[in-house]
Amino acid sequence: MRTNQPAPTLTVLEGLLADPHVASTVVHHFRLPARPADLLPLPPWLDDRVAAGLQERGITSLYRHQAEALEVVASGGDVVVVTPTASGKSLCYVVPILHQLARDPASRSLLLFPTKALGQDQVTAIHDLATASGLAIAVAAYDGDTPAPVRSTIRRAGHVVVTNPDMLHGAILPHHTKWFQLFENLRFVVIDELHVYRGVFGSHVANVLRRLWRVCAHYGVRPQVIATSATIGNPGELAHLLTGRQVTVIDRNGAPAGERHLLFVVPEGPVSRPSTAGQLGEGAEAPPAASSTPPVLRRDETLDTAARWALPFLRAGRQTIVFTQARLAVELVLRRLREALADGAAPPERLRGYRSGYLPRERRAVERGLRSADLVGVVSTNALELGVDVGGLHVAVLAGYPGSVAATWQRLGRAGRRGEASVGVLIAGPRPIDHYVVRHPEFLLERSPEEARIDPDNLHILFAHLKAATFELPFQPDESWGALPASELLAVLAEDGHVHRAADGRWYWSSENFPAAAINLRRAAEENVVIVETGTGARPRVIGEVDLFSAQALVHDQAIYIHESTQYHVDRLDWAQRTAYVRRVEVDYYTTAQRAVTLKPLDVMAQADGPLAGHAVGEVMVASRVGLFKKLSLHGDEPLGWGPVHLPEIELQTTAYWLTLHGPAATWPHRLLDVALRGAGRILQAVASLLLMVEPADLGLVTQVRSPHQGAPALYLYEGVPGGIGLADRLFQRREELLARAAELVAGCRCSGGCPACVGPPLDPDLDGKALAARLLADLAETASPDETPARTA
Amino acid sequence: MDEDGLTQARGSIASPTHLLRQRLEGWRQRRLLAPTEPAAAAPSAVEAAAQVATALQAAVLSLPGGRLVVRTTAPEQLPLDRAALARLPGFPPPQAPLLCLDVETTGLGSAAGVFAFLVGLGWWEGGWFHRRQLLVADQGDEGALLDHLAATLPRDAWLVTYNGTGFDWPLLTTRFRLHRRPPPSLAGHLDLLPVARRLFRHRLPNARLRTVEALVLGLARSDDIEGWEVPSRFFAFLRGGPASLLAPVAQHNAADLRSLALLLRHLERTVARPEDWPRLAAGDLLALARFHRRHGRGAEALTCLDLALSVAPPWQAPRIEVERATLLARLGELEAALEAWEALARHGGLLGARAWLEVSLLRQRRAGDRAGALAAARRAQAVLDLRRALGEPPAPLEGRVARRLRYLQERWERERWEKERWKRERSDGARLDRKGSDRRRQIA
Repeated sequence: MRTNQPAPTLTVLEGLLADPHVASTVVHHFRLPARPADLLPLPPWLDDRVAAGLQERGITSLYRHQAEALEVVASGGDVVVVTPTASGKSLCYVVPILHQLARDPASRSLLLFPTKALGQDQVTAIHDLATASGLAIAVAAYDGDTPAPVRSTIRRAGHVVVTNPDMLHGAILPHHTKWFQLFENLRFVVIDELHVYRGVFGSHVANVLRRLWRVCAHYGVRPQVIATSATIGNPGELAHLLTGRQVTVIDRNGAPAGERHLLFVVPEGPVSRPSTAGQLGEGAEAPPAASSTPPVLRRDETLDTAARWALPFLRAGRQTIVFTQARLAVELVLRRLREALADGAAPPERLRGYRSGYLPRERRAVERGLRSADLVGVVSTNALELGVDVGGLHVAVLAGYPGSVAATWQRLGRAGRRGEASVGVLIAGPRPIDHYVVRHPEFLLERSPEEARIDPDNLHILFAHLKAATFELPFQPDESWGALPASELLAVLAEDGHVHRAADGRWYWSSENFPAAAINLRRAAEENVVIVETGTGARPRVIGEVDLFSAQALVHDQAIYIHESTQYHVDRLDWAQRTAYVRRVEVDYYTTAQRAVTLKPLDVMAQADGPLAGHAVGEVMVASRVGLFKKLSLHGDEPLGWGPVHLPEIELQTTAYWLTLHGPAATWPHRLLDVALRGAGRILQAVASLLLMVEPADLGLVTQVRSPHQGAPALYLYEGVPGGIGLADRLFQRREELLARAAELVAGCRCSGGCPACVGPPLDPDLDGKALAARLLADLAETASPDETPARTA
Repeated sequence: MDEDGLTQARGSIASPTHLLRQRLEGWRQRRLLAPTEPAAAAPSAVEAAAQVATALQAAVLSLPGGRLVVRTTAPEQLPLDRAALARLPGFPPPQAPLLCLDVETTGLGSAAGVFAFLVGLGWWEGGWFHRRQLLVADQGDEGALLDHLAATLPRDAWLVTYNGTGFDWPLLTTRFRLHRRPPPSLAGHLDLLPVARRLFRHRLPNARLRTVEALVLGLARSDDIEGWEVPSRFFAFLRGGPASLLAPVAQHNAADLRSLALLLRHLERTVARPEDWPRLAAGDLLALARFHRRHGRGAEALTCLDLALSVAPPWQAPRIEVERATLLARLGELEAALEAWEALARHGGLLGARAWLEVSLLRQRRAGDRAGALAAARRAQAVLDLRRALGEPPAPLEGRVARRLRYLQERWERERWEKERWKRERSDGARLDRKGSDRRRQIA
């Protein structure tokens, strides 16, 4: 089985499955047959030159989704095309743009890509097709790297301007008068990778688009929207929330696909018995190791299994991507695979890591390497899920369930190129939901993917953009912003002195500040901590950045920070300067930090009371502080010691969903109640992230045996971004489903007394945490009340 | 997903209005804002304009687009010899009307949210300088301001501004675009900031208009406000402050306009006419020479430098001579340039070394005099050697001199060697020639 010779993907897979040790871990194996192309002819109305250009490039017919999209656009509608990667989505906007330019050479288009790199790839592609069609048009990328003299040319004469939401927000809209030629002739706004615009980023971008439409209206145009998206549960809704338009969804994929194998794997070991190991990730909730039960499933086992699956494919020269759940895991797997490859034919440097924290330059190099096949493999976090073009690979190995059906398909979709067989492997991690998904593949195969959530009306985000919008154009008295008349919102800004209502009833910007400069679309929070390597003799160099909240856990004093599988010791975290000074080391341990979180409710927005519990959604203040860290051995997670961390508290004002107990459970002894609440909270957190298509880290958990604010036991799920993006609200609305699923999950786990796959390992050897949590959840699920009462009458 | 693949998006799912209202209410309560008290209502535009007009002793002009407060300053006798002024490079022709322009705004830059609430204009009628300031007391009246500007700016006028190419005019252009109208066209734009920078930099700490006024024009402003106070005064007025807040802004603007006019007159009286140049100090003449040179007026520049030399104190003369020699070389007057550098070379020291280096370059360039060039380079080297022997620190010039010397020596030797080879080859030239033509045939 160990071959270093190049071999076809399926031969390697057969070899693997012939090994009984490997075969026994596969709980399900599906073969999805190859699918032929569903073709339609080029539309008869298409401009002859464009048609000829397409034919010259070998395109004589269109896939069904392309043809359907062209028809919607031709009839003047807005459209979102929802098909997998590499299905020819870009043709859906390139052809209408060129067709329009062939008819009206003055027409202009604006293309939005989530990142600079994605946009630059498209400039060449569009330019090539235009040239083949004999159309002399100016296609240009307008981003932070565009030199100043070129910028004015693009403003004046760019037919197709390729940019990103950040540039639109910071450079184009506030200076729209300098772009009047573009706006006066704007026909299409293209939004590529629509599904990326979710959460905080999406909520920002929705507001940027509100600003864009205002400016367009000012210049008397109403451009059509053409969007593309990966498969998500609610592309039409997301497109509608983002753009404010009724958008036609095109989702019948006409592109052909090669044969595809999907394998669901549970790592070796009796997972039904409890474990002492912590969970993946930062391990904020990881309990101290108890010695009463033998360790069975470690963090290592999922990663080891992933490495075992990836290795034969890498050796055979099959391009392979391994997805892990955490940054640390990327480095651990990378290290393991590189060590294993060192004796083989594939040089270890042909395998790279990819995650946030790497500098953009490094990331671009990895993307190029994958496209050109210089790299044979990559180990990545979800960073590579975000629409980055790396071409089609042969094999995708997922170490752990990504937390959502949509993300799972996106990651699995990285494997698969036209006419070639591909393999996707999903390996269960130690979390509850992983085992559920792997043992119930129908969950993945039959259930529609999750919905992408945005909340354009998050007040922090909304007000920031409302200021920028007023700066760009005064508000008319009868204008609206989202769901409300703009005047109601502007009145609040007026009290802070940012805007002024003139005698004509219009609202004007009246401050010396430049409001767009205060907004970062990518973050709710403003600042990052820069990580600086101070080596022996070498000049200090920046190796990465990390946001403030994560910084407290990752780069506190004495932490081991891992970057590109190199270990760094944090000598000093200068909190005031937002700089961490690190030094290269080689040690056999890693560190994990523990967060202490306190929570205070500020305001209730809606509540519902049942016989056993009350449910509410509202605003809360969360104070979080990393107080101590633990050293754990790299092989085996053995605790080696701990140390204090001295960092200030970080405050976060956000929204939360919470439930308070006032049934019989409220009278349980505190020791029992504590264990029950924590166990139930863990399950609820996992199920909530599943329901809402978010990372588990986007929702924080706080349990209180006797809440000082509620006077009763309480369990809070709070959002990780200031103001929240509507997750808590959604949880409140879907609370019955949430509780029912949680109860089902804990009842379905085959362990006794709790395991990492459900309520977590036992905290107290004398108590059956699982049974307590199960009872609590079962009671709550039965009585979750559908009655809702408004919190306050205004 | 629907069977036909074409699905209409589900109906509006945007946050319901009442939810956003409720959030808004919570936000207000936490920030201790009054529950629903609206912002203090702006006074009517008519009232605001009247208040400002009273405070500024100005008139209100009602136009279809709104009201303008027009403040007119009594004309001042300030005759300007336009023919003389036109002799300066880049300056407007005598017949073009001049329009001094200075704008007071709510911020910096020319992005869409910066508002120009006061546009000051100044122009000449006969020998009299007139000033009129157009003020908008309510942001809604901006249309009237733009109407008035578009109607009154003469098409053949030249703008006169201080940093107007970088700030005032792009900002007004933005305001016109914001109102979806083309900005008025101009015959020309004389921005006095770069002019002042060129002509007076040598005797000013900075080139701000206020500094030029004080140190060049000899004016002192009393009770003037700082430029950075302007936006906050306007905003304070908008929020219900007294109109008297704007009076100092208008005075500040009027003073700026007057300074523009006085600066033009100063330039006309002191530097425009060559017959006035002999009265200038050496430093000013040097700056004027550079100003002319930059605009390609070599003859004028040379005249200035010659005059500067005649009045310069001994310690200033070498700098001017260097400038003059450099200019001569640039004008192609190689003979004169060489002469000038040779004169400078006699100074010795670093200047001498520099001069010998230039002499070396010029001797070669003028007459292909390589022997002379090499000799001059050696003289430069000798001066530097002497300096080093005296323990002086090394000069940046040393590298250039050494490179030049090496180049000339190598070239000298190569030429000698080539000359000898040529002689050798000429002796068997016939054979070579035949061979050469053979090869040419092959290539063809």
